[in-house]
Amino acid sequence: MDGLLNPSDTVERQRDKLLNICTALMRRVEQPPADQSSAFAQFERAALLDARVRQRTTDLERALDLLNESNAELATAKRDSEQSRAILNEAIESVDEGFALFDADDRLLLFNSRFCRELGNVRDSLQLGISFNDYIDIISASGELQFPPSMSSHDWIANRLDRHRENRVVFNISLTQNRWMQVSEHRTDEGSTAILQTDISDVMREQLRERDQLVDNQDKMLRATLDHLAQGVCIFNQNAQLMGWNRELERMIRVPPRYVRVGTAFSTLLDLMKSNITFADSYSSAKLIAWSERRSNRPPIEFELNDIKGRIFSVFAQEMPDQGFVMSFSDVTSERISAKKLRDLNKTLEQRVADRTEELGAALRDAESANVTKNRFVAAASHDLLQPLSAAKLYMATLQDAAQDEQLMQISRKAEGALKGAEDIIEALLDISKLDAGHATFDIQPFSLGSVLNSLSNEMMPIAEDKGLDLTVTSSESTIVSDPMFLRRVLQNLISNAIKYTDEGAVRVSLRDGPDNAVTIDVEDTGSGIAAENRERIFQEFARLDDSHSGAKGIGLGLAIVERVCDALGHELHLRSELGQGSCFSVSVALHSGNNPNTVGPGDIQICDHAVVGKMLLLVENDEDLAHAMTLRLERSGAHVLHASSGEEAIELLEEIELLPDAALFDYQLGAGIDGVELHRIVRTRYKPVPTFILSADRSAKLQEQCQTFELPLVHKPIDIDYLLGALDSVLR
Amino acid sequence: MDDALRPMGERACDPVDGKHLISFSEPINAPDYIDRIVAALSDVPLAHVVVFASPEADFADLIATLHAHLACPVVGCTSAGEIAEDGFVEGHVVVIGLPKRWFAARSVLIENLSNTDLSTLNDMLIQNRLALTTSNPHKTNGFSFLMVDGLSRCEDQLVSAISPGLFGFPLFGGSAGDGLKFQKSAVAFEGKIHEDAATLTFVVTNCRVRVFSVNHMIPGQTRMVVTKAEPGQRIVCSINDEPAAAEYARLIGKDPAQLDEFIFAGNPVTVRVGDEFHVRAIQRVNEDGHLVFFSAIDEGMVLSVAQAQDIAEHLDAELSNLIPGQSAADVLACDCILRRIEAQRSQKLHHTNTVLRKHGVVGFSTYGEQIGPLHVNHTLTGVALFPPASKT
Repeated sequence: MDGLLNPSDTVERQRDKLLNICTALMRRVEQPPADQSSAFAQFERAALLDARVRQRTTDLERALDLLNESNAELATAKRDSEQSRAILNEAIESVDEGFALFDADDRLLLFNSRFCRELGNVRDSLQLGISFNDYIDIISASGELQFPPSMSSHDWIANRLDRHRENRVVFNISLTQNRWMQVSEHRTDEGSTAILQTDISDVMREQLRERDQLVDNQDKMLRATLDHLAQGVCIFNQNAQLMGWNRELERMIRVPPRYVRVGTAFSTLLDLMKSNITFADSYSSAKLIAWSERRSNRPPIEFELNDIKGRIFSVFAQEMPDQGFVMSFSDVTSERISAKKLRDLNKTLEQRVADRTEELGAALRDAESANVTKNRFVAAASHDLLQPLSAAKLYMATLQDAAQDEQLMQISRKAEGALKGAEDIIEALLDISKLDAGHATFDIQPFSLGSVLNSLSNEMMPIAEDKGLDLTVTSSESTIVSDPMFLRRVLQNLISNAIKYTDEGAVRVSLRDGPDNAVTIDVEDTGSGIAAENRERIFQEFARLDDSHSGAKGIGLGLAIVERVCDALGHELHLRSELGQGSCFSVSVALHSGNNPNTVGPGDIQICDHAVVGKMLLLVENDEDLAHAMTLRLERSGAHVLHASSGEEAIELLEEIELLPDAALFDYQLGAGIDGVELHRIVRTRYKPVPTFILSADRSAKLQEQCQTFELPLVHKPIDIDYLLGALDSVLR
Repeated sequence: MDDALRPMGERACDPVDGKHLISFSEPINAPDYIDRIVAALSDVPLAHVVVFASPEADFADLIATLHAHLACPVVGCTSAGEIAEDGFVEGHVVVIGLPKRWFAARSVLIENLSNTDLSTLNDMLIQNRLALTTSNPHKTNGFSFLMVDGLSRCEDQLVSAISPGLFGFPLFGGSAGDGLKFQKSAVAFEGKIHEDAATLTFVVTNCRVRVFSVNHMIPGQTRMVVTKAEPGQRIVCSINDEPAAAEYARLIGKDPAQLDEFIFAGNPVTVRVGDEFHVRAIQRVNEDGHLVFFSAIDEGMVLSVAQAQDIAEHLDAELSNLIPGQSAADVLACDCILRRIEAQRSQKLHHTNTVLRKHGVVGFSTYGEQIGPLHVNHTLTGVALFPPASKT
């Protein structure tokens, strides 16, 4: 407040001044509005007002600018909208169909000039904004619609509104004067409905024409089809009246033609047919009538008729959708005849087959017995041959012992060798025949391989040394499972062959593991080897590779036996060979898995000097197991055993082989046929007495007496073989 | 537009140097100055003529002669000085002609200012205004120009009353003066001169129009309170409970006996109304030691001593920024006499004249100015005319 108060004034004066200033100010501030006509007041008001007006004017101008802007935008938007609308209207005008659009509130939004054009003066009542219901009312009241006979206009409206509720629907509306309109409604995503109307009168008329045509054609086709069938067909309506049939039927049922017409009752036809036909099976005409008279729900039926001309008909009847029924007749006469012929043929055929089978059985039995006979013959013949041979050998040995002359000794040794060779061959033949027939009895047991190898080594060593060959035979602790005698023979053969076919070098017998739980024995030589094409051949009987080796050492039966024995015992036999380098024969034998090896060596077999060695025994025993066991045992002891299961068989056998055994062992009880004692009597009478033992479990006094009468030693069962052998010994020496 | 097709009169109205107003001045000491004025105004079809006459002139004769010889209406007033082509002058008559090509105008006389109920004027004003606008639909911009008897002391009430009727025609004007004598001032209308009256001229034009006022005062810190006054006479009797002139002198640090128009011009007081400050100009000290003002005052008014900015610089800046980037073709101004005195006193007269010339200002010095609904002091009010928005 610069200078408001004069400093030179007194304080009082200053105070008074201030008071007056305040008074003036206060008066001014509180000036009542009525008093404000003074110039300054007006000036103040005007100034204030002016300021405010200026502000307002600026605001207004700004508002006006905004308004102008939005007006401009509105104008543009309006223009765009107008344009869009115009385009839309053009577009829907270009559509071929009548088109209308109802908005989401079901109010008519727009429609083109074709919409409802066919519907008389409906168009005059159409206005934008009318509701869908009003629109439907207008249409239904227009008189242009052709309602179906059962439908009132109310029904039509209800139906139409129902359809309108669907999102997509297409249906046809029938109009007066044979016109048709197809209406399709489509609901858009935001709830508007687009309606399309298409005039399909032409299409419909065409379709109706075609349908009529089709019905005609169908009739024709039906007729043609029926006539084409090989069956006789007739069709009846619900009331069992004849409606249709074909030519074939007329021929089949032989009813006067005047009755075969539309309307004839089924029962009438059946009556007329009755005299000519009989029902096969259980069907009857009464049943058939009853069936036909059912108005509905007839089950399908099938039956057979025979007519007086001998023809057979299969009849099939079935209800049709309109509650009529159709019946078909099939002439099955020829079929039936053919069927019967076929059955007869079948029977004849079966009979013939049965006959042939019997013949075959007989032939087979003949062949079998022939085989048996052959084997027995071979066995017997061999045995017969062996005897003089062994005698000859003995004589030759004696000669050797007695001869002083070196030359004579040599000759006799050679002769002995020849005899030995012959003996070998015959033994081999015997073995082969037994093997072939499956009659060789194997005594499978665990035994020491080592003892066999040792024995063979001892036996073959001299022969090898003789040829200047190196023979090594490995030893073994293993226990193998096989037939000791046969295995020995196999290995003997292989080693012998090896030595025979090796001119210089070595023959080595070694062992290796495998396959599985077995041991393989390899017999290797450094001989001439065997070419691939000869491999098969060497296993054949009498085949030998090298003729230069003929004469001295047998005629090549060895490998044939080896093969058969290995096959029968289940030992794998392999051959590795290269021409010029040597061969290796391998035999695989199963190892014994038990812990109680039978250390019985094959040596045990031959040590006995029973008299049965080389002798032929006839064993007649119907107990197969016992027979088998005894045969084994006896053969092990060196005998040749012939076995028959019954007395009759034994007689037959003897007749065939025309040989007599050295001794006979007859079981007393030989089943249904002759007993052992009787058999002995027959043999004695027919041929000559043979030392015979009767074997029986029977300890009755009666048998003992019988045996004593005929001087037949009786050996009780269970048989003590040693005892038997001892007995045989005393008889055969 | 093809020159060949335009009527000859129009061609002659093409803006000369960009100016649309015909403006010139004649010194009254030339004996035939009235004839020369008439001659100069006869070439061009004119809508209206405005004259500002030095108080030394025979105003009645001038007005009567012009009225007799010119086809168009003539309005005018006496001045406290003139603004002509060279700036501030004295002893001249400044003549302004409004060519029909760009202007149409209509004037009304408001007589008997002291006794008329000014609120009844609006109907008449509006009718005249509308008649003008409807007969000139292509002249879309408008302003109204007021000349009022400066010794009437009715300016505040007058502008206040008529401003509602002036929609679309922003008002500016000046109070007719009597040099520095303050004895006789008059306005002219239809060949006659009137005292205690005012003329209001509505002008429509296709030129762009800016009505403006320029006030280079900034209120200072020194404040005073009018404790006693005679508002009807615009007399402030006491300030701060002291005799007005003495207290005023004390507050501005001057000798009370030395108070003259120069002191007043240099130490104006302002009153705050709302956010704005308005100058209250002091005319003289009367024999009672009271201050006579040029504008409305009241008891309890708070006045603050104002400070002047550089008058010339300020005027230049204001005139240049009426439309940013564009300079006015013509400026018609009512300039307070106190500004001229102040310019003289502060040796800014030459500079101010330069500015006035630069902006093509013509007009007269007034005893008071009107702008909008306000009667103000120590202000320059006027209208600036810019070339029309689109070339025709």
